[in-house]
Amino acid sequence: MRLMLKRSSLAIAASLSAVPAAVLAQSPIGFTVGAAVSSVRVNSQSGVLVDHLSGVMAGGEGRLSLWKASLDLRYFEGSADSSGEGDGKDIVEGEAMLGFSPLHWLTVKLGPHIRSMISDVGTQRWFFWEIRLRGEATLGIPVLKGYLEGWNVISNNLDVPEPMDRGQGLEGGLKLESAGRPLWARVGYRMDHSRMGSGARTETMEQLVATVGLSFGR
Amino acid sequence: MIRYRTPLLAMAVVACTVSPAVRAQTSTQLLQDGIRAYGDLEFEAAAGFLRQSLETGEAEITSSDPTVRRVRLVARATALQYLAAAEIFLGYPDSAQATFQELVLLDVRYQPDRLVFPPEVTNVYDAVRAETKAVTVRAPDQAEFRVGEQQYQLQLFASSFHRAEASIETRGGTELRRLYRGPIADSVTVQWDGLDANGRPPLSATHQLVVTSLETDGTPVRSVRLPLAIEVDIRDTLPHPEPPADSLFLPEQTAPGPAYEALAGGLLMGGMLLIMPGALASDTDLGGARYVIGGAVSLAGITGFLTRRPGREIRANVEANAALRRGWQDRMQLVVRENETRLADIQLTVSAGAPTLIEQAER
Repeated sequence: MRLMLKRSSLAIAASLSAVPAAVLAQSPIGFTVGAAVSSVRVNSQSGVLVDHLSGVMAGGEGRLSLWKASLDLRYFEGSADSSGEGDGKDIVEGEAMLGFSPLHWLTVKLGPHIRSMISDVGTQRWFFWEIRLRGEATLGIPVLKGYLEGWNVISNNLDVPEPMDRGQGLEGGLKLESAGRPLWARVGYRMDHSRMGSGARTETMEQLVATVGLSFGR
Repeated sequence: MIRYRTPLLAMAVVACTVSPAVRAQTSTQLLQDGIRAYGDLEFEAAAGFLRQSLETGEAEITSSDPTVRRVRLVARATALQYLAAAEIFLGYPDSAQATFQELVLLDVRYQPDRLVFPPEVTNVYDAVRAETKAVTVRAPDQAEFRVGEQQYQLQLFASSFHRAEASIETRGGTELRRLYRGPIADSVTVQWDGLDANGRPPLSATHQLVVTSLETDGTPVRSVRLPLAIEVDIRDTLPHPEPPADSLFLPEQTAPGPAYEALAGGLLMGGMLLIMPGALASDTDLGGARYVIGGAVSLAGITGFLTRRPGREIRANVEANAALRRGWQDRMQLVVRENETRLADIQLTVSAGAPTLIEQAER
């Protein structure tokens, strides 16, 4: 897993150095990359069986924007250990969202969200198509912003026997930008909740995410 | 005496027809002939030559060339002196007094050569000079001076002790500045700083210095008018700098928008983070991270509102605007000072013309 993380970081750094910052600064193109670490908490309930997992994930994210359009990429992986007698799991998660910002503080996103839960028993793959709404507000000083993003699953393909009833999630937190410099940092809370088989099974994942990154261009 | 008539007539004819240079030469020749005749005690002939000389040379007295004017004045004064003396010896005392008065009016400081003329001549001259109240003016042909700082100097010479007044007037007779009013025994120096009675420089034009001799009761007797061609050189002033445009000033008080955005955004997002996870996963035991982040967002929003509450003074902007105003005021003061310097730096060039004597009856 560590090897995979290193490869991802190298790939991001290589793509970053390949784009001249001066070119980005004068164009309508914006480019953002970040590295994140999160504490993860997974709550799986199937019938009367309840499994609590907790662990640490790390990953990265990138954003490419052109005028009002944007493409967000996100990748996380890590492992979570069971608090009971169950097995621990490796978790790999990724998403790619195409966005459109009708207002400078509002973005509508649409895209796939994939999650794999790997254990000794096997691998569960979750594939969601999600629609998201994200809002941002400046909190007093221009470099401090609050954000809130909520989403709803509009289509899914799950490796579980129960049909999915609904899937929803949200993320919110604070983003601090460095005035005059490309450095930024973010801390946020993220959760998603899936309900399957008329409530016979629920999967809830919570993350406390800390991200630092660089932004170029807009 | 008859033998002189033919040449005199010939000279008079020539004097009326020849050029000024030839006329001046003729006048000088007539003066020399007159002096020679006076020396030969041919007073009648001398008087004839001298009168002719005076008539012929009259035009040169008002010559625009100061040097020519002075030479002709000396020649005329000499002619008048010899003519008056001849008239005394011919037994025409009234004519002699009139000629001496003309001499005094021509040059109030004239003194006959007492080695050449006997006391019976000089005594008459002294008596006429004492009775005649007249002033002559000595002014530089051309003078340049700074208004208010330097002075234009004129010397007034009196024929005898009397009262006089001197002033600068327009050609139309409007008094611009009274320079002197008082007694003159021998001479008085008057000064003009280039300003009129209201403290302003005159317009560029030909004005005149008028010096009037007064009787003891203040009645004007005669005046001498000296044309003064005045050129005023005033430097252009600088335009005042425009005040800074409104768009350059920064807002000095916080606008309500950012404060309410911070408060509404922080409370709404923080509240959603606190409430929504529990609502979405009501059947799940959630962790406490949402309270930490939700509380932090709410607190940041409230803090942002308080720090940028509407109407709060933005000190940095106030100082920046004050510096902008100060810069403009400093530039304005520099321009005002420069303009004051330029307005104070007025140069007058005064060119004096030929004086004319006007008897009071002619005024």
